[in-house]
Amino acid sequence: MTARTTRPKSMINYGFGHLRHVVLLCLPISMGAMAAEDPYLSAISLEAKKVDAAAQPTLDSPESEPASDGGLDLQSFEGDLKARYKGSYTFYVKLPQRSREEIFQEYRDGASIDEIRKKIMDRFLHQ
Amino acid sequence: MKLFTRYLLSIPLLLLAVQCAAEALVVAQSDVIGLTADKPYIHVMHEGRSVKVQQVQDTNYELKGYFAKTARKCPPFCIQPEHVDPRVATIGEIEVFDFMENELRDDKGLLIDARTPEWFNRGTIPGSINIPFTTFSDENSVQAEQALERFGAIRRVNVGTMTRKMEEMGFMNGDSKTDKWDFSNAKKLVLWCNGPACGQSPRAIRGLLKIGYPADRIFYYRGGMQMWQLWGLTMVIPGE
Repeated sequence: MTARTTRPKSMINYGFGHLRHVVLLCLPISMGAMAAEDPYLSAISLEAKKVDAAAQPTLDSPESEPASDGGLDLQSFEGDLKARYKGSYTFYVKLPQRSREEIFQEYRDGASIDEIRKKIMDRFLHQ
Repeated sequence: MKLFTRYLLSIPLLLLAVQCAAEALVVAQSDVIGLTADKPYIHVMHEGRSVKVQQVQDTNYELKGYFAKTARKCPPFCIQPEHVDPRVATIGEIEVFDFMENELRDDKGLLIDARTPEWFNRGTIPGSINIPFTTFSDENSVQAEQALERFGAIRRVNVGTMTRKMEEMGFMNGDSKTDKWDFSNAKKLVLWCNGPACGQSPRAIRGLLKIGYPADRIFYYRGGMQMWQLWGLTMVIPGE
């Protein structure tokens, strides 16, 4: 009568069975961490949709644009100002370079000519 | 010869001093609204191009839009503590400018927008890279490993228990090391998100601390996008 020996295959099955239980137990723990973030992720995703990118205050104007492109636009602006509002142009050319750049930038950002003229006067008077 | 060498070495310092004085003079004499009393603006590299960071040049400027609002439902948008962790410094705008001009410029630091991509794509602080806070939820994820390597951390392999014990006890150089990562040359990180009521960058910071990132190399810009916009500081739209 031979002793019944445990076959390796059944031992492996036994081990894997327990391993499966361990993995299944661990899954809720790791998923719990992710699940805890999911409602938060949903909330911030919904919130992001409320942001209007166009309402941002100071968007960068690319400084690496070719000088000719910026120069032509600037020339048009200054030419228009000189032709239509000579008084404002007279004060404009007396402003420091940086002030002129900012005024031109506001023009490019869509400020009205009245706002531009007012700004020129403000800058000139407060130099 | 010595005198000549000394003279040569002093020229760059002299030029720097002249430049600083010139910038201070610009702020003092003109109506420029400077970043500081002696700094009208700074330049930062963003996506390969130079961006001028300055305040909006309009004393009548008022913040409008999403970031002008402060009352949001808590949770999840709760006002955050001043400090994420006692070991992590909380900084303001001046420190961010300084970081941009020094560590960021010298590639010894990173400015991290820790928000999810949909926030980042709506506008970010110049010089920022987007590493969402979710990256650090699982330190073993590919994203976390890639981020850490980008921060200058080096993956450690086959670190034995004995080696680790010796490091922990101080017999071997274990500073800034864990069993998985060597943070000896890791960069300084400034993390930020939407502002004082945003939990995204605090979560990122806690994730980094859990991984073992040196706390003295992490900085929390609590003001975030809300304060950045309140001051009318330059922002960029990624990809534009």
